[in-house]
Amino acid sequence: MTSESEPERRPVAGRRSGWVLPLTLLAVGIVLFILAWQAADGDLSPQGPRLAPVLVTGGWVLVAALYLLRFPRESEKSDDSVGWIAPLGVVGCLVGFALILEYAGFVVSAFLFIIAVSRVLGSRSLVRDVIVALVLPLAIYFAFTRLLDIFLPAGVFPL
Amino acid sequence: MNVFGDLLSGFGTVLQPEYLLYAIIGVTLGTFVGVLPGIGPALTIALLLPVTFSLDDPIGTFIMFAGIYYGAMYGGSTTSILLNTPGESASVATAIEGYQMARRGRAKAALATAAIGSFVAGTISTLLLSLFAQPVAKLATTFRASDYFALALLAMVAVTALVGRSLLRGLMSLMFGLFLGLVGIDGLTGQARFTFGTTELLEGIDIVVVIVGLFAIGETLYVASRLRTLPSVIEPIQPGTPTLSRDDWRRSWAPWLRGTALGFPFGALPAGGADIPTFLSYTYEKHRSKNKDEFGKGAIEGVAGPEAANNAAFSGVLVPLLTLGIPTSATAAVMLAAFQIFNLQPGPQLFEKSPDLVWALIASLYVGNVLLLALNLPLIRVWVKVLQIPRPILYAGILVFATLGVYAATGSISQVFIAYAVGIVGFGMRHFDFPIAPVILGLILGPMMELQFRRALLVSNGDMTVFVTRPLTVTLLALAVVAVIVPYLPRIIARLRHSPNADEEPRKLAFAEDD
Repeated sequence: MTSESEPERRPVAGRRSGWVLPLTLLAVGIVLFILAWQAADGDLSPQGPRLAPVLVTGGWVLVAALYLLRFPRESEKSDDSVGWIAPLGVVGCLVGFALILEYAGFVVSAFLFIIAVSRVLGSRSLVRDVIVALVLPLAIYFAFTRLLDIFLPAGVFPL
Repeated sequence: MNVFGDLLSGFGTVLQPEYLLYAIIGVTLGTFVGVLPGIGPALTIALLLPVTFSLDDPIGTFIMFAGIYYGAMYGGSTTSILLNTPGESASVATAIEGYQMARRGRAKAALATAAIGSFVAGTISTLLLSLFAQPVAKLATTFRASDYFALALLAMVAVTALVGRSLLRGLMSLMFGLFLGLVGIDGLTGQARFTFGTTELLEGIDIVVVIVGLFAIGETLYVASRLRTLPSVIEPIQPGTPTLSRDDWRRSWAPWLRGTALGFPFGALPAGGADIPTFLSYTYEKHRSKNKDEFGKGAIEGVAGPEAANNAAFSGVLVPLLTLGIPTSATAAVMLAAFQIFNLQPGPQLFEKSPDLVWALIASLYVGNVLLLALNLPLIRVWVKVLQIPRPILYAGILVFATLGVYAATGSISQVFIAYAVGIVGFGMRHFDFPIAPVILGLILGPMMELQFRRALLVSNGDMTVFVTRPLTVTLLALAVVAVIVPYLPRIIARLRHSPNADEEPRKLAFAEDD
């Protein structure tokens, strides 16, 4: 199984930002290991609940350290086509959606979310998005609450 | 009762109009969601899990899931062929030749050989599943805790080592999954671990939350970061129902059978589901074909073999899942979660406690296969329409469903935020090329492994030799070691032989990743 039979690969991130990742992984691993070690408080009996966290986080630190050592060989390609604004925008929309979901209700919050996130993802036809944002949440809401008896927040509209 | 009697009663259940309806709904939903670019079977089932919460009939639900799974696979191959965006790595091999065929105006033949090959492979491998399931379940009743520990370890190590291109990245993903599996209250002693003083984390991190986060939200963020470089040209298909010419049949039938022969055993072994057999099948057909020069330009063998292997592997994966309760692919892990919603624990007892469910599920695989062949080829134009849904709307809809799925599954906004956080990690993993499957398996198999490890020690009064005295345990542990070494074999052999190729960049056996 050599590279010639493999499909196009998703590009690997560039060199400059590269050191941040292995160092972060290692740091997170060390923090988690310390937490696990402190929680164990000397009790690392194989039957007890404290051994596994120490082993897993210890393994994490080990793998992250090896990854840090190997890192210069592993990152060769750089990729300029990666945008950061759109993913951040999507995360922002998601957080807003989750924050207002229980207050505004599913239909209203999903309406606003679909319009907002399709803008972020580069949609240019507002009319189409508004229609979808109206029809889809209503259809989901009635299918879930009426047909499947699953609770969804009704919110401000007396549906 | 013998296998055929059981199976017959299973058919008796499935062919009732009500269950047939469940099968049709499952197949249609599965194909619909599977056709959407970037969505594989694991996510399809995870997104559709909430639909089952109000259903109190496990048989109907699992018939639907079997349909969804098969549908998602068929749908995925359609997307791979027409759009060159495989929704899961098991369709990657199909996309290589299938897309080339479509570009040369042979989309219909590619779709037909994929569909008929899947049907052939699905039928044969389901037959094998019917024959093997019960004997394996019988054997599994003799398994002890130490064997389960070794088996879970083997499954985890094999998937991590064999799937993805870098063992270190795979291990890093696995550690993350194992860590997620530790969060929450320890099942044996009731002590809280890694809850960081919050009550939200006491119950642990739900598998549905992680799958929706990693696959749906992670994938959407990844797409958002690469909006400019997305493929959006759908290859046109000629009017009429896809069919195969005489020559296509002649070139397809052997790859179908070889693909099945590779797919089923690899699926049944704890070795990562469908990825390895699809690539093995592709490579085999490429090297053995009389039409070698056609490969890379749309060779039908390169679609027929991998598609058959993909489908056969699913029935294979059901063997360890149903008989041992051990999932060996991301999709099997979601199926396990679905079983647990109904308080059913897959494993040897399942065949004794709910034989009607097991055999109805197996019978529904046959039925689902027939339904798909009947639905899919004539309806291909409908599925192409689904492919044409504009991307912003498509991903907005996926995100709404993802949020809804987590909220309906957990009833809590904080779980939704956990899913978003996992999604951001998933985006990072895609961006930095870390495989996703080990996270899922670590999350599911880690707690299972720890439980069996401690249980074995409880039984043996803390005597560690329990793991080296049972031959079965030792064999399984040895296999786990072998699985770590296998990917490096080509490099080791090259070095031993001092072959002229040894100067080249050392290559590692690698397979695509299971999304």
